[in-house]
Amino acid sequence: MSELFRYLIAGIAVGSIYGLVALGFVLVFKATSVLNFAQGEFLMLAAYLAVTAAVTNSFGLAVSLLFVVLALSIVGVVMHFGVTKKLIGEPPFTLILVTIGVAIVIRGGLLMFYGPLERSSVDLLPAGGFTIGDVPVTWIDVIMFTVAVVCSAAFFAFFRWTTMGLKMRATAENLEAAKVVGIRPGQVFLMAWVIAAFVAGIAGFFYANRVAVVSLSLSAIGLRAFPAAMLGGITSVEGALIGGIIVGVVEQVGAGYLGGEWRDVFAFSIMLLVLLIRPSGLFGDKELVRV
Amino acid sequence: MTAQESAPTIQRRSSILSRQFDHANEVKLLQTRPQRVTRVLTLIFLLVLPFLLATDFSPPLDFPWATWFTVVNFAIIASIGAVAMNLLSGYAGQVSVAHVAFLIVGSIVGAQFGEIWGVPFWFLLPLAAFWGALIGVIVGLPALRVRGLYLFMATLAVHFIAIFIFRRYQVDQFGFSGIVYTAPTLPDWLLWIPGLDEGANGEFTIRGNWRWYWLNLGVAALCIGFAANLLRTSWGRAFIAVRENDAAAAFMGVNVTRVKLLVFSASSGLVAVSGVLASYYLGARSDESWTLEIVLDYVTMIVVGGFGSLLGGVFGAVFFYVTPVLLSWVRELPFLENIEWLQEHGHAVDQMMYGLCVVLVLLFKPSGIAGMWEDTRDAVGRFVERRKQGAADEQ
Repeated sequence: MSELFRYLIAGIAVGSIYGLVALGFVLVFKATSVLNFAQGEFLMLAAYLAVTAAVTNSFGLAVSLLFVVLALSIVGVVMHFGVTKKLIGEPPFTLILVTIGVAIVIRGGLLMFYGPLERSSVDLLPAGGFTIGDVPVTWIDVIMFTVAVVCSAAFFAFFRWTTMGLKMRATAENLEAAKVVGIRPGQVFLMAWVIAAFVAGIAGFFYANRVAVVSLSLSAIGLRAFPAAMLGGITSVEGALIGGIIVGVVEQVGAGYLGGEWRDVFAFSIMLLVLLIRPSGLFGDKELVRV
Repeated sequence: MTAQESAPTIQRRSSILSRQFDHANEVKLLQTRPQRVTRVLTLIFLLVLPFLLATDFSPPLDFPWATWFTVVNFAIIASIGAVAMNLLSGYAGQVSVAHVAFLIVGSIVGAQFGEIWGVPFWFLLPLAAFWGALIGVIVGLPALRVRGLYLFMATLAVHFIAIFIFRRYQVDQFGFSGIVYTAPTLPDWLLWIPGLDEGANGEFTIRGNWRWYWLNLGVAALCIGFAANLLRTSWGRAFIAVRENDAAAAFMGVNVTRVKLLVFSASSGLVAVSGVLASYYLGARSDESWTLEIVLDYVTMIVVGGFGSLLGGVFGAVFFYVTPVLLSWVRELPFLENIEWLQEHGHAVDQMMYGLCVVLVLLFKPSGIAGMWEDTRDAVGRFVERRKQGAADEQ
């Protein structure tokens, strides 16, 4: 029983990161219908920048976080103006491929500036933890989970109650109609990219505290955004975190009982099931099935 | 957008190439004389190429001549896969990333039938096509229910499940180190052909780039020819109808279910053939060989090459294998050689430049290399037409 409980805790912790990656992914997709394959690379870039800030320059927690988040927001701006702005309306494969190209560029850039060797992870967050029964819970996991919940709630509120959020929802709903009522889609797309990169910045910063080493294999986590986002519903901001946590829990429990090689299979089989039974996910819009 | 773009194209074609738009002409494999001339030139080039590559010619500026044979062989094998993917995604609009899954089918067919049961290599190609097509129908089943992005995601799941199955199979049957494929031999009854020098044991083994080139070229010609011919049939037109709007296609009497399953099985069969070919060419495969990057590489090939164009698949495969070699050659040119920073980060620079190439092609020419080729062709056609016009005016 305590074994199951341990897997659950690990699943929730890992799932929080998946949820944050999926959140950025969903935001971009919802606003611009670009499937962003570079979301994992954004996170990796943020983790490396966190290493630069906290380990190399020994900045404090607040300064490092600010540095990473600002840098990533700039990446978001570059993504919009430099890459995707021209390509809105192209076939989906082209858009996917452009983000893959960006991912390759980020990867090459990191390899160039940081070299192929692993970097030691950041330790700005309190170490240690507490136990529930006989299951250890680290503070880092608690913080990760809190950050994920706060981020999701903040963006949910942003979409619900701010003018910009309303504009973004309107654009996602119907681009033409949004244009008619005077919303500038360029502004909305820019905002979506900035927010997505911003979320990746936060996720990458905290993830750099959790992993053992920061390396170029970190971007693999970006792939988990797919099942997480599909599970929550690809257009659902609040679904992303819940989807992420479900994927995290399922794969940790599955891998815990059957062995590590089952991780991918569990994470993606659950996605396949959702697709075949309820393609719109748990919280997604129904009519999107007819895309 | 589409209407605006397509209208001038039709006009340009009909005015410059003065092509008749009758049905009999439209379904021909080669419709115009320039097309036939280009094909013949391509054929001559492909037949002469290995003779050039086999020489130990050493071009100026350390151009990497010796590595080209391998690059060409990889490009030929990959072009089968790229054409198959373009058939499925570009023509029929079924966005699938289960590409590696079918390369795995080819690898497992090679391992199980060829290595364990000792079936001769020549039977493995049709066997791989058969199993690929059969499993393709099963993988195509979700396409009947979901489409677009959702199909993409469903096939992504298939990708990971296939890798898992391969790992299980490999560990069970061959151990952790991977599967080793023995080089195929030509059947004995073909040895009378003059010019085949059999080895010491009286067998003609397909080994080395020279021999593989002819095998790869033959198989690729068959596969790509199959795809090109399939597109000329009513099935081919049904693919495009389903891509554009499957409800409208159904309304016009296209059996959408059958079309989707057929295109999945045709494409998957071809991919499986390229899978078994690549496995034997490389000589070994293990669970480390399969990554999502391979699928993304093929996506790169078909989009950079030209989405929805068979020629684009071939162009893309060549681009994919040739560009890295060219980039690393450029990096070591005399005037760049001395820039220390560049040499130190050589690999990263190559990778980044490659990524930039991809992004730039898409930004400035979304129809890819096939689009550039068409532009060039049209420009030449227009030039010839103008010359003719000028000559006619003078008279």
